[in-house]
Parts: sequence; structure tokens; C-alpha cells
Amino acid sequence: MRDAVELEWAGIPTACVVHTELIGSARAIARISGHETYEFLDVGYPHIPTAIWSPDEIQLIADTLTPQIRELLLKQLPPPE
Amino acid sequence: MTLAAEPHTYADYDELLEDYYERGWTDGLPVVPPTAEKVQRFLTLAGLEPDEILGSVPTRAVVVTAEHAAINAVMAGCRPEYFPAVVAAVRAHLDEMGNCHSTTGTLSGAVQTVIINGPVRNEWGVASGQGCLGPGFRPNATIGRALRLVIRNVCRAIPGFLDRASFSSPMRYSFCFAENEEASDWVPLHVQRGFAAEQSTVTVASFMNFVPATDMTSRTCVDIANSIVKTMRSKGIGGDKWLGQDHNVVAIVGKEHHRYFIEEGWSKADLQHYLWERIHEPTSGPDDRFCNIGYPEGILVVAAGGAGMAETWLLMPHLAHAITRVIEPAQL
Amino acid sequence: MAIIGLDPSSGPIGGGDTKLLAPRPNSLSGQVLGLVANGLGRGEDMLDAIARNLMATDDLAGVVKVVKGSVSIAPHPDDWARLTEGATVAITGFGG
Repeated sequence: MRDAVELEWAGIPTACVVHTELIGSARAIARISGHETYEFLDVGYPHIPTAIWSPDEIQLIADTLTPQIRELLLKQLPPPE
Repeated sequence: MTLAAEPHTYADYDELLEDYYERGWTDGLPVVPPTAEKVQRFLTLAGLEPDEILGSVPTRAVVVTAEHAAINAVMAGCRPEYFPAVVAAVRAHLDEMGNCHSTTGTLSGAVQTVIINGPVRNEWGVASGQGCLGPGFRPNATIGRALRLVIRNVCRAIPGFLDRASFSSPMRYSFCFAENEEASDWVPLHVQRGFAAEQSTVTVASFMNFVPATDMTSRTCVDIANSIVKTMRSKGIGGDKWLGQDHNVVAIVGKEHHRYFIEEGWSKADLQHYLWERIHEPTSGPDDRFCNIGYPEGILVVAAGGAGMAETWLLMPHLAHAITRVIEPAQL
Repeated sequence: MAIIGLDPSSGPIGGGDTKLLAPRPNSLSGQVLGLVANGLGRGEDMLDAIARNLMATDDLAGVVKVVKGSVSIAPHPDDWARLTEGATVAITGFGG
């Protein structure tokens, strides 16, 4: 998450992909960085350790995430307060 | 001496304790009230200004000062003279290669241990013998706890927030012990790591697994060492590009194993070399794994513990190096 | 007797001098996609698969990939420079 925030600060729109079990720390880092409502994506499936993903599962995850990533990278931000 | 921390006023100790707990400022156990007078005394004794920076965690926008460390050391129940050891432990943990962000946030619930070497062990009565890894010894209990309170309160490693440990560990309340330097002529850990014997140091290591190499039957150094190798290899030690060759594993050699090394004249270096050559061999299967330790001295051999159980305890590392820092003498 | 205890924490979280997030493009066409893999498990393979998907559908101009030296550290400065000088949009993953 911190890499995503740093990239944003460098002017590069970024989609951060987070494992379900680490959403809490991703939210915490976003909050600490001053972007409490920063949107990111959750790999919710398959709910197993990443080390044993099969190639088919990797492609399924990629196919699920790709449109979400596109949407997130193109979603216009609200004007700063 | 001006302190930066916000003061909170309470009618009595019970009210303070309840409020500190409600604010998430304790590890669940009672704390000693960190009054300005006590905190100033700790800082004065260590010769530190409150705003002296001990380290930082950039990903968490955290800068840890001497004042932070002193407040948490008071809360942990430290005696004032222990504070330089807490300062050294915080500095060691916040070394870049100590990898605070990972080792205190990981799902694996990695634990930080503080190993004390040098003269302060005997001056303070830091336990290194029977029962040394457990409760009952004030410096062990409070120095280790102080580091963990800094990690919690200052570095924001709070369960459910940045501490994501699936199970965590009771060893995270406190884990501090000393090397039994008098047990043999083994070169103490801090001397092996480049410090003078008359200096006192802390070595902070973050570990994922606490594994006993129990061998009650072997009666030779080779057989005992082979048991240690087998246990290490049953877990394996990974690594990555950033950790490089300087990764560490800690082997706490218990008295019943140590006696054979003394009898047969094995030095600490002999044991390190024997172990390293064998843990470094390629894996032969899922229960016999390569251990990514770059050189023999990366195996931190420490003598400790009491008689009875023939064990060597292994601290299998998380993603960090073990870091040693000198304990600056207190200004008594 | 009243007791005055000091706050042992590093203070309130967030706030302060917040920098701005990057403005979003209208399309991914012509963008250079940066990938930051933290090396955990098969996350790098997942990012590669996403990049292949986007290359096939969104007319990207290229991909710049960085694999971090360890899970929870910042990319190496050389990799960071390559990323920030080359990429115009990015994906990071994955972890917390």
C-alpha cells in the first residue's frame, strides 16, 4: 500500500491489490498516509495462500481483477477539500 | 527538561489504568504510571535529550524518540538503570535491516527477542540460567516488555490495525534473556560480533518459529550437532535479495548440550562451522530444507538455560537481520 | 492524590500535511503500465497475467515491472527511478 501511495504522490495513478487478510493493514497505511478513503482492490478468491495458486487460479484472479483495475485507474477523483 | 508528550490527569491509579487500557496504550497488563518525573529521571540517567531520535518507521510515518522509549520503559516496569538497554534495543529493532514494518505487521506473528551480553548481565541480574526464558526476572521481563510497548504504542503495531498476526504469540509480551558467558570459554555473542568483552550490548532478533532441538540420548558433540541440524532443516530458512547473505538464526544451547561441547573442546566457532556446512546443503525433500544463512557466523550461538532438559532452542528468523547495539553506560 | 500520566503513543494517526493523489487519465490507451511485485508467493504471476490482459484490450504503450527485494520494503532506488520515469499508471501487489 505504501508503494501505491508513494506512486500517487509521484503523479502516477495506481491500483493497489491487497490480499483479504491484509486489508486492515492496507487501510491503516492509507490512513497514516493521509488518504483514509483511498480505494484499493481485494483479492477475495481463492481464499488460500498465494504460494499454492495454480496457473488456472492465477488467470481467474487476473480476469476478475482486470476490469476492476481499469475502472479504478480511470475513476476520477473528487476535488481536494 | 521539557517533554513533548501530552499529559493526562487522573484521580487515582485505577482511573489511569482503565483509561490507558481503553486508549489501547497497554499490552493488557497493568502498567506503571509514566509520570514526567520518572520519565525525566530515565532520560537523565541515559544522558539523552527527550527529542533524541532513536529510529523511524517510514512506512508508518513514525519517528521514535528517547522520550517515547522512556515513557514506555517506565510503563513496562523497568528500573531506571535498565533504560540504556531499552534504548539500545529500540535502536537495534529500528535499524533498517531490523525491518520493523514487516516483523511487527506480519501474519506470522514474528517475535522480537532481546539478548543481553556483557557486564550489565551480572550488575542487573539478567537471567541466563535456569528458567531464563520465562517469568520471574525483572530485567528480563521489563526490558523485553518495554521494547514491545514501544512497538505497540509508538510504532503502531496494534492487533487489528498494523499488527495482522493470525495467532500472535505470548512471547510478544516480553522476550529477553542474557547469554551465560561464564558457562565456558566460548566467545560471547557480542565479542563475536565485533564488540569488546567489557562492553554491554543487546542483540535484537525477530523470529517466526521457536523450535526445540531436543536430544536426550546423544552423548557426543557430533550427534548433538546433527540433531540441531536436523531440526533446523525440518523448518528451513528462506531468504530474499534484500536480506542477502547476512541472515541469522539463533541457537540457544542449553546446559545439557553445552556440557558435551565443553568436554570435547568444541569452540563456538567449531559448532558454527559444523552446523553451517550441513544446513547449507541443498534440500532433499519437504522435511529436509535448505537454510539460507550466508556464512557460519550468521548462526548466532548463545549459551543459556539450566540443567535437566537436553535441548537447544532455535529461533528461526523472520525477514530481518539480528542487530547488535551497545548499551551506553548509565550516568549514575 | 491525582496522577498525571504521559501519552506513550506517537500521537494521532493521519492528518497533517497530506499530499495529493495523482490525477486520473481518461483512457489507458497509450499509457505505460508500471507493475510493482512484492515477491510474495505467486503475486508476480498474477500481475503479469493482469498486464497481459490489459495489453490485449487497452492499447497500452508498454510495461515497466519492478520486483521488490523483500515483501515489506520499498523498491530499490534504481528500480524506483525506472518506475517513476517510465510508468504513467501502475499496479502494486500484493500484500498490505
